[in-house]
Amino acid sequence: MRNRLRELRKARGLSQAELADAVEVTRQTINAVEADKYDPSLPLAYKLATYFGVPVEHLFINPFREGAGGAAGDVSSMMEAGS
Amino acid sequence: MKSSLERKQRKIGLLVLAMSITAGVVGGVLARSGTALPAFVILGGLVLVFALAIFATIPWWRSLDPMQRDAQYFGWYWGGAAGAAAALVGIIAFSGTQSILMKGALLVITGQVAGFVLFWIVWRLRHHGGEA
Repeated sequence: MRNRLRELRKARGLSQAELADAVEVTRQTINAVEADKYDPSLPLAYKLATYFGVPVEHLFINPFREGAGGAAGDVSSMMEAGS
Repeated sequence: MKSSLERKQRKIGLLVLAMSITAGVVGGVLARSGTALPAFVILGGLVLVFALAIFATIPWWRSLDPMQRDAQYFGWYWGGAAGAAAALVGIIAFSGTQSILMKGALLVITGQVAGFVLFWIVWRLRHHGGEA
């Protein structure tokens, strides 16, 4: 599932291991999610969205919604939306 | 750099490995004790040792994150089925269908199927949503 996890993590200045610690998963899981190689469970998706203070659909692009693919805005507007 | 969960898993993994090896050694000693011990003591001891070995893996299983668990499901389902099929073909090819090796293999597979059915039923019952 396409997502903005890497973008958001880098905007916070976090390493993959630091983010993994924050949401209690392994670094490999963060890496796989960022690379679109693994779709996270719903609880993990919500945990990540809560951590970054954004709605889940800002973090994970809904492939079933019309016009999916970047309409949710850039990272800074997302961070503002979450604060 | 490893996350703290990975460091924790490494410690748990080593502990579980040590307990599994211990269980294997104790089980082996019991199984080879012959007539030195009564049969019910050997059988009861083996059941206890292997039950403890399985219970010892619970902390490790609980420490896995969702992706690691998915990897286990994928590996055991596809890899386990393919490996068992390949082993059966090999046993039939080299020892025939009536050998003691074949009987042992069928016993193990029967146990696995019974375990699968039991756990599948438990899983379905626990995830039943009730009345619509």
